[in-house]
Amino acid sequence: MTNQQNQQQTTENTTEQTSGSSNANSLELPDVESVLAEAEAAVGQCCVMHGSFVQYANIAGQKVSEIRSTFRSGWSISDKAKALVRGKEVDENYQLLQGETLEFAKQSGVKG
Amino acid sequence: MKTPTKIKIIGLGGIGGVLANSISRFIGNHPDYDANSTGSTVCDIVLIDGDRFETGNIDRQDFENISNKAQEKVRMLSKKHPRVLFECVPEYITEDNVIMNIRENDVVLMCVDNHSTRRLVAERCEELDNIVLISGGNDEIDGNVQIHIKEGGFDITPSILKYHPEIAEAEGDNPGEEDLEREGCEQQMNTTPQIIQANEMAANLMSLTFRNWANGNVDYSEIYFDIDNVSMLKYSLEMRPV
Repeated sequence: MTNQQNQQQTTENTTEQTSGSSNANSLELPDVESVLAEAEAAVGQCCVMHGSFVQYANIAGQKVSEIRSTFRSGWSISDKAKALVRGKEVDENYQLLQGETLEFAKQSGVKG
Repeated sequence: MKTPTKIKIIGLGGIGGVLANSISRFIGNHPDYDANSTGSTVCDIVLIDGDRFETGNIDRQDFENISNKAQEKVRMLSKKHPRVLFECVPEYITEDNVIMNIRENDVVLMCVDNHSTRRLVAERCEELDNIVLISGGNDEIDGNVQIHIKEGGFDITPSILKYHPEIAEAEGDNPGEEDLEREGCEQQMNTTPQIIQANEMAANLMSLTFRNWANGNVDYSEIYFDIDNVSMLKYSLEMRPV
């Protein structure tokens, strides 16, 4: 038996075992297409961070000022909080690119 | 595991008091810190604070006597961890003593209650070639921990000043400066309340960050936390480049 035949045999065995196991325990296998669709959507999402808060959202193309306005009250973002992308300050008109992470820098705690 | 010879803990209030207990227990009982023929550990712990314990802070701080915090903490910890050699510096960190107190190869755990002292210590660490500075602070319900590592003159993680202008530009609130009329801790407590859980969260994250550094496992420069939302987030070196 060649290596290729061996691999094919192994694959068939694995498939049979998986199917058998699935039937026996009534497990629902994940819908591959929906998983891939979710992953594809996630790839295009941007990330917004402020302190311990983080949110992924479809906001590519939006300006920093718009994103700040969206998150300002819920996250208590100060107007003075600098906007950073990969550690570099960006201005309020900067438009977020697909997959980028925007941080509104939070000040350090003072007390100890 | 990395085994520094000196750990300096600056500030022994709500964060530093908890951290001193945790680090002492860790150093005093971890086999990698076992010493030599003298029976002591390979690492000494230096406690630095010019403040006195005040009864108004009893809800957050663990002291047996009203006296200087560094002296009292050394007395208490020496009894619990006899293998660890503790040293006491009952002074605030100032321009005059920062060079003497922060030196090459130290691991500095900074738990002070003002940004001026943070700036002073951070600037001193920037001057050195080999140093680890872990700094923690909190407000009422949230806070953060930062780590600056320098090895062989190179920054492995960014200085704690780089992304925090509020620290880099701070002045006028160092209690050790002569012309400052220090607002007592008791008075400060009445105006700006602190919560023990926020102090403990900061202390535990500092202790964890020390362990991660000792294991060569630090892939972040900062952690933020929020106790009301029970949330915590670490900022990678990609987010906060050197």
